[in-house]
Amino acid sequence: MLVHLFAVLVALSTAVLIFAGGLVTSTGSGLSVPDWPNTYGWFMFAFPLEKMVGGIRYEHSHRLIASVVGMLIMALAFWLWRAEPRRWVRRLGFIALGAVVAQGLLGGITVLWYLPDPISIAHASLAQLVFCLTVTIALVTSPGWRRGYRPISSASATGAMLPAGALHRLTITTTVVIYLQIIIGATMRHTEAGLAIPDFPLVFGQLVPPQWDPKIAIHYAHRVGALIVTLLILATTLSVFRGNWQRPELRRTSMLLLVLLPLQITLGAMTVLLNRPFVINSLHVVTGASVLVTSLVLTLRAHRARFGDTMDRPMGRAA
Amino acid sequence: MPATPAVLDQKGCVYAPHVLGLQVGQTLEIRNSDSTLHNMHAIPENNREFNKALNLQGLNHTHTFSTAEVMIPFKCDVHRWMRSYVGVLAHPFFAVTGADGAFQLTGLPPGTYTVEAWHEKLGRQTQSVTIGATQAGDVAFTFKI
Repeated sequence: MLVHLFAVLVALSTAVLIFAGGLVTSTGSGLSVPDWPNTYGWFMFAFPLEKMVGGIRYEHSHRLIASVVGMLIMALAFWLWRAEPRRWVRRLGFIALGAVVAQGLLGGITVLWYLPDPISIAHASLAQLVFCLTVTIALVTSPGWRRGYRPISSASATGAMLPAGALHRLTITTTVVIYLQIIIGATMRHTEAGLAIPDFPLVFGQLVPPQWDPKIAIHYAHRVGALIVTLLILATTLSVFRGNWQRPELRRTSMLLLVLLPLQITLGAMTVLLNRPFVINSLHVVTGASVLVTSLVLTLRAHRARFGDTMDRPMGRAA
Repeated sequence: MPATPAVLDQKGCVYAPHVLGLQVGQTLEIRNSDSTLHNMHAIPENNREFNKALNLQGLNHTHTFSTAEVMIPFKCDVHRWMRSYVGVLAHPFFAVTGADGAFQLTGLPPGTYTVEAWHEKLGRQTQSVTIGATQAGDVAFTFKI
């Protein structure tokens, strides 16, 4: 149980890190600290607080939070390695650790190479995978997952229900499409196409842009992607409500998705209509990440039975 | 080639001067006269991009450009309002206009020249001017706002 609570803390800290990263991009502060891993020649943790002015506030804070999250993930991986009986969960810990180290390196490279779009987009996209990994670890170490989402009184009875075929496919498709939509969003952000289409919900007063250039195209792709994601989330949640209402772990996650979806669309619209205020823009980033991991949780919970019985199996190695 | 460096200072979180010209190979001396941190981020298209930390008051950084380029934007990512423009030319015949918009180019041999004027928001214009052996040429640009 303790490792689960710690994993939840790590997942929440990852969300905070994504928000902090969103602030760096939204305020244009990515190059306000020219060196890496040092900060203006200071060792990162020795940088004087009174020097944190202007864009340095966002960039250096992002680096500090990232370092803390990296250490938390390292501790989580070590804890899982020592205490987790399931080999695949132990591996997840190390995969998360590898991913966050790669993420830190990408962050450093993008600063030293003056924010090349492909590296910055990869940095934004890998951040989502790190968040997915920490949330997955938090989920699969939870008591509900461990008992297969059976009522506590019947934890030793039959296994969890297999998902219906439609829900099975829908949850996977929705999660993958949300991730692709976030990559398109990251591309739009880092190529400065966020205001290429200035109106919302119409596009230059109509449904399709009257003219095209790369920035308008990537912005329009993000809007079309939002429509597809909306339809997929509605189809997925409808499938849960119609065929799996008796499974509270799916019902609750679907309801959360239905709360996050309009919030995310509203934040996206406000970003365009209010000329990209940096806090709204960053909230749009972290809410998008929250939509992704909520859909991922729904997917994993829907497929819980496929992971087999994982109750406290011996570790199979010397302690 | 001038032996003295062209100087771009950061004072009161503003660049001084806002527009500056120098020759290819001439040293550009970038100063930080502020007690706060600045980064000096040059964003050229034909020269090498650089982003240097100027973390102490009185600290200087020097740089030379290998290719002519008009203009190279400079910005400070710490203080987003700070921006200046550096023109790098292959010859010494350039000037920055004064407060009245006037400028003067001296030492030109007789001949016909193309003069280009640049403004950070209003763009570029060119005009042809002929200089005689003892005669100056006048050229006037009008930018529409």
